[in-house]
Amino acid sequence: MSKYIIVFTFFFCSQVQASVYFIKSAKVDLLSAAEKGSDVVATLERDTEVKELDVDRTWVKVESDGKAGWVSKIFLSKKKSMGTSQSLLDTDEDLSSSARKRASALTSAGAARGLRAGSDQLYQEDGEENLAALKIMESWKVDDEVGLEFLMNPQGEL
Amino acid sequence: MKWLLLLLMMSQAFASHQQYRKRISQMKVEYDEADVLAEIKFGRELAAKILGKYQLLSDQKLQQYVSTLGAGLAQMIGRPELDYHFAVIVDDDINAYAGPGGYIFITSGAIALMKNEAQLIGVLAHEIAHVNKRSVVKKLKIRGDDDSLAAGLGVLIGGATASYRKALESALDKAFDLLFEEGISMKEELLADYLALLTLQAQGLNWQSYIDYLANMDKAIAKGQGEVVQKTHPPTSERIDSLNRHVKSWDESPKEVNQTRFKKYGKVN
Repeated sequence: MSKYIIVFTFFFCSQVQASVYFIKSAKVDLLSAAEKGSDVVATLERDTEVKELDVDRTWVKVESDGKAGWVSKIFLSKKKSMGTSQSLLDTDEDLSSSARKRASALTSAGAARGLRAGSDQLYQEDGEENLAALKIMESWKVDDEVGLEFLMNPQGEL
Repeated sequence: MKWLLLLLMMSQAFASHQQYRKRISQMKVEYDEADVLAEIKFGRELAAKILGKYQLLSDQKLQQYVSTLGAGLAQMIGRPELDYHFAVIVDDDINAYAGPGGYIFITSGAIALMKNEAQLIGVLAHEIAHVNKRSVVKKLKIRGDDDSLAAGLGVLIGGATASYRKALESALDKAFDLLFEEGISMKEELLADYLALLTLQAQGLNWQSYIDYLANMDKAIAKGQGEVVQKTHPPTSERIDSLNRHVKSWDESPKEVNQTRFKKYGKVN
């Protein structure tokens, strides 16, 4: 009887896999304790696969490449990212074709034309929309690295 | 012996069924590059509409400050496939808005109410959480024949005829109403508050200051500075109660609020 129980337990356990996550942030420090300010064990980059080892409230102990440490759960995702905005825009042709394949034949070409981000025109510029202000807002976009550095360093200046 | 075998077979069947259900569910809601570009395009239209109603604050230093902090936060907790854009708009009402595609607005009234950078980071993180959830486009329920956003929104955006333009106009009006009249969902607002707090905690910043900001907002609402937020968000007391439940098990809030930098750049001129 006991051997069946062992077999069953083994079989059941094999169904429950350790949780695997991906790093969501551009980069995140793996900490020695579940607290900001702890020693940094390693720095992980976006989409690094990590395995969950332990959980302490909002912190998760993970392992990657032989190194274990703690990260806030806000930096973890169940799925890999879709790539950066730059990589998406670089593949304009493929994206249009992808949209074309999936949209109806009647409207697909128009849909593809309209899907390019950052185009200079709006489709509904009818007086209620302010394209000039939008362009100003878009011109304020700050370099990602500069923004991250500024956020991480409270002494940072503009 | 028989019942053991039966149990084994049942657990195997259950696991397979769960995996099957997961695959089916992923097939229906998978969000691909074309969907992202449709979202950006629609978000851009909506942002222009918002800017047709509200002026950009002319204080360049403050705009740069908000955009820089926002860019850093987007790198930390946002969707990498989007370029996030931030702007302070002129309005005494205390609020912030997250449009599709990463267009985020914060009112001058909200900034004026803030006392430190941690509070600003909390509010920006709350809005990024909405963008992450694709709150507006999901609520619009515009999907194409193949259940994709690209085929739904993309058709409206790319459509050349008057009827398509009319449909797009209607979708934009609906999205505008969601942000300024109806609200997204009370549950999602509470979740965004929680994620704002988590962000502050992960940064080693004083997360209590975000709760304090909400308490100050409640007072300002009582003085008439929360016309929109009252319609679109849960009662502030409920938001505070919800956060207090979350932080019950947390260690004491750190003291750091980045006061010095906020004093230098965060004043509304």
